[in-house]
Amino acid sequence: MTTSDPRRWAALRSAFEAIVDLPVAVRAEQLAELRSKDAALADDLEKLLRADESNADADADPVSSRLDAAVRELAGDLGAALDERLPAQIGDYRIKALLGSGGMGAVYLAEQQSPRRVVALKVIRGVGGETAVRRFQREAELLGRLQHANIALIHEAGLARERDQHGVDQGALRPYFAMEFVRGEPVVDFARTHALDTSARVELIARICDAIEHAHARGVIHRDLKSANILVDEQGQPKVLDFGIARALDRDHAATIATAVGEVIGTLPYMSPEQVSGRSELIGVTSDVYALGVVLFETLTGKRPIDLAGRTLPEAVRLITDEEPTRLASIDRTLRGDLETIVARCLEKDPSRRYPSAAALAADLRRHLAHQPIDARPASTLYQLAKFTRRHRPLVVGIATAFAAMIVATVISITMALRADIARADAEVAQTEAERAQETAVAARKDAEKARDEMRVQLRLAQEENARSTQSFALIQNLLAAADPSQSGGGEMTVRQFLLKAAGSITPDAGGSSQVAGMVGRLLAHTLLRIGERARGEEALRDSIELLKVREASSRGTELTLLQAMTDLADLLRLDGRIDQAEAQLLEIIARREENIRLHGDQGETAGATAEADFFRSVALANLALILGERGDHAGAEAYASRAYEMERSLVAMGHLRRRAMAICLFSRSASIRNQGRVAEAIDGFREALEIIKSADGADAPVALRIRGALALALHSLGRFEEACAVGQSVVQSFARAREVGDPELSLARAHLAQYLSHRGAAIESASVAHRALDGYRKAGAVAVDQATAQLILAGALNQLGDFDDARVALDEAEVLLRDGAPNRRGLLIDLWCHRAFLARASGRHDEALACAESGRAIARELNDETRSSRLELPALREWAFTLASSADSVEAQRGADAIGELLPLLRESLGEMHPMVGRAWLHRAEALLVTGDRAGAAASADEAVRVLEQPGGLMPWWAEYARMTLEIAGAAGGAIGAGAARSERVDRLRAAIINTAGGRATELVRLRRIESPTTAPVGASASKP
Amino acid sequence: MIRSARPLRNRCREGETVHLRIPAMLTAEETTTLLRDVRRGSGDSRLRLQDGLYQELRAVAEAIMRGRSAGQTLQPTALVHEAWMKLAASEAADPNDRAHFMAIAATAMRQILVDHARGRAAIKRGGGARRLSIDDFDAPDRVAAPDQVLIIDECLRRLARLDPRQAQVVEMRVFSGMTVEEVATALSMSTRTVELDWRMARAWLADELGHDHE
Repeated sequence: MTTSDPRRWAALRSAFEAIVDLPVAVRAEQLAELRSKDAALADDLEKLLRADESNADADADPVSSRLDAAVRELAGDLGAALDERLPAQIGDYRIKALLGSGGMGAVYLAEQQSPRRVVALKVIRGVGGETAVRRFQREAELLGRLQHANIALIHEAGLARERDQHGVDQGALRPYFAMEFVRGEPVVDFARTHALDTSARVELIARICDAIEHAHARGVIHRDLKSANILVDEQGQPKVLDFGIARALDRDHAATIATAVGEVIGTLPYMSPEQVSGRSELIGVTSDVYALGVVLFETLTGKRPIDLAGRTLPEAVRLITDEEPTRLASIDRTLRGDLETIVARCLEKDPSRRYPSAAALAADLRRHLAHQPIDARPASTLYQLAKFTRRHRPLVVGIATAFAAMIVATVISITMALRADIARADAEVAQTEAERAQETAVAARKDAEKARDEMRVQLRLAQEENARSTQSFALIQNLLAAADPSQSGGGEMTVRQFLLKAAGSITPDAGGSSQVAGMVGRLLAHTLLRIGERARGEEALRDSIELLKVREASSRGTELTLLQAMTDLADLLRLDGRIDQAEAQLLEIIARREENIRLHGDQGETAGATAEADFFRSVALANLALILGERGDHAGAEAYASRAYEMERSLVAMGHLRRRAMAICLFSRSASIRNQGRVAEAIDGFREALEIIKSADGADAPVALRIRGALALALHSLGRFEEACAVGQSVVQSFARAREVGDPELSLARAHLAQYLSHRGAAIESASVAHRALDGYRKAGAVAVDQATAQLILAGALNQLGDFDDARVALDEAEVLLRDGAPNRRGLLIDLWCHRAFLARASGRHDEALACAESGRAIARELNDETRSSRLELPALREWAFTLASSADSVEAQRGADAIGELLPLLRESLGEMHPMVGRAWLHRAEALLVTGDRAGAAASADEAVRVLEQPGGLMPWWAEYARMTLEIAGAAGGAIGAGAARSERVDRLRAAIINTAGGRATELVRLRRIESPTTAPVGASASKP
Repeated sequence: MIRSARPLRNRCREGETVHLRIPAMLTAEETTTLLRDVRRGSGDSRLRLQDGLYQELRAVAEAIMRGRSAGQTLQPTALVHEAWMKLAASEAADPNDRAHFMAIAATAMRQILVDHARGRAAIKRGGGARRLSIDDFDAPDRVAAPDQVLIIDECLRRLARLDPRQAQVVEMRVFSGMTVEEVATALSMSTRTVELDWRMARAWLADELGHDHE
């Protein structure tokens, strides 16, 4: 602006005031007019008007916004600069500038003389007595040992006096830390200014966790983690500052808070309940995890989980110890789900409920990033109830009615789930679903709708039995009154204690009829079972059955409840391994139902009640079939299952429940058919059962998953590996979506898939899936036999890959697991020896291979005597014959060829003509005959091998290639072939063939002298499990 | 005005609690007396009050900075308001003095910031002590911070030569956070006039700042 003359300014001001509020068009006119008189004034005015317009647009005046930015900068050191002059030197450090200051002291940018480097020098204002100084030195030394890319290095710590420009020492000795000078922004600011997306923010925090873990592993806890202490440089590299300094200065205690309020204040929002309440004995790794949770929350949302704004210190302390932190999703709905769960776990008030380590937090964050299921679980309803009860103890009795309603609602949904399936799995899924549902209102509503649908039958009955419902509520209220915490010695009462107490007080005269008492007892039993009180749960269940039986003698209305309770008990017993007792329960269920039909005809009180009662009978039959199957009586199992299936089919009504029952019966029948060797027939049955259950519950329902698993297994045992893999893969995916990592069914599905993949020739994938199955088993502490199965599958895959060292380790571990000789374990021992035989043969130890195969055969023969089936010996016999056939000695080779000749009909019968294992038998026979010089026989066998192995879309192409070559050699070689020459030529050509056919994976396989692997059936043993 | 030092502010702002004890520079009585003199237009009362407030506000700022956490911003306008709140709580204060008080405090506040920015800038340029070449370590925008205050101050000085009233309006609005109505009361002007002054001064400043530094 040109104006510098006050008189010109006055003119400008008049013009501005006259024109500024006029409409744009008029303004332009007036401006043009002014320009004709005084061009310079018009120019200045135009500039002003333009600036005025942009001021209005920006809605922020330039002075304020600039001043804001400037003041923010100045604020950094204003306070210190106001009364503190920079010292020239401290110890070996020359002070360059003040970086910041607070009640604790000041941080300077300083230069060290030798070694010459720039450091951030933290000088502490007064430390206290000698003890404090010694402690400071000890801790400082410890801190110097922390070396991590993401932790600001502490170069040195010491005591020194400040020195002014003239080299004169001033004041007392002051402790100082010389730290790596880090240029960066606090992590929360960095995330905002760089507009990181959520996953980048999560990844950043995960890396910070790694650094924290590094220090924790060395026994150093930060104690003062906050955004301001975690800087991120321009490259996005985080650095954690001030590690352990809080401890070095002994600033853990609440007393310190009081004396150094101003300083600790900035840290308050990051302090854990144990820190603010001064319980220093509880301060540990998990206190840092809490602070990390706050930083994570802040980085994701820009806000803090507990709002301390406008609070005094005592109020803030109370909020931190008592207030539930804000839920992440309530600030940003896109963060609901895993991240919310993770943050909530960090911010638990009780340190033992948080992640046990920064590493565990990092692992969960990364699982979230990789879209894998996280480890942390949202607090279950029961846990929340328990927390609520703890917090509001005096209220518990007051809200008894609401509480009773909650328990009934929870339990009814569990009841439905249990009733619906033949195993506990359903209840677990329902529970998982219910817990997940809490994560969002949407999911909760969906869940509620589902529950409502499922409860329709129940509700109808409830309406018809209004009086009874009233009674049961009265009973529950009595129970609640009986469990009044004021009568339990005034101590805190958990839901668990409440339930146990309630279970003890159920009797017919506790406020209702024996029927109501029986029903309520059953609900209570379920709740007890769910919270892990197995013994008390079973007891309550048995009590309720007794009460219901008393009642049923006089009224039919109890039938359904009684059948439910008995089914529950049978499930409990069966899953607990008490098979005989379970069987007795199931037989009684069937007998009771049929007796009732005999007495009262086919109609129950209502159509729904009839359908349900029939459902329980069918499920009982299906369960009986499974029990017989587990005992090896497959024909008996089929008879039961068929009876149930026919019964269900004969019923006209085709409701949801009936479809489910039919699917279960058909599944059970098909399983027993499969176990009798009629695999193709079983596959049809499984497919039909699957269609039925899909229409009832969808393809991911627990029953559907089990049927799909059985289908995959059946396809596999017919040699339809590709189909088996596809089905098996989808089963694993479905399980992985719904279950946690350690879930036994998920691990089992993975083990099966590994087996299919192995036989399909996908050894690398197989090994990887087997590893994951093993991880799951280990995590859950699964039974030895399951782990051993997975180990054996892994060994098979490693054998195929030629990774014999690892295979041997897996086999050794399996052997340890199998040491105890229960029957189903001995079955696995056969596989173990088969793998060992293969390993020895592939490593060129012919005699050892033979001995291993013999061991396998011996066990198989022993078992055969017990079960009168020769199926078990087949794999061991096969390995033995294959080993003989691979001998360079023509006499042994002849014996091998003969043995394979005897084996072939058995293999073809059990596996089907075109099974790859049949092809390999032909192939090994051809090899043996080449060695004995029977060229014609060799050519004929090789021809068969090619025919079987060269199926379109065959998945182990190298076998086909190998067979073709063998055929070529048999046809081309004149006269008897020297064993050695033939062998080396074959090996060379095989190598070439494999490289051509198996592509990139071939290099791994080439390490095998011979490409083969025993077929094992370890999964067969578990296949008959429900 | 503070006979017994009492906490000025014991509420958290942005999550922090700051317990402040303000050293007494001016007593409440002195302040009210000076304010009364200012209204009467007598002698150097305005200047004396301004000096007293300079000390007062600096002490408040210092106390805040001591308890500050990273990211906490020193708000000059908030400081001024708090100083008034403290005075207003004393019985001697006349509510009518508020506008005068704020107007004077604005000048004091401006002075504090400018003095401090000068100190910083001097260090940066290498005047004063030898411990100085921090250019290596300061990001460019950091170096600019004190300059910004000085530039604004310089602009306001020039504006004061052209139009003292407009400069005063800006000073009160920016450094004391006074509303248009408060400024109008303090200067015994209509709000419309203050509004137009403010608008033009802002436009001029925007233009000036845009020329010089962008």
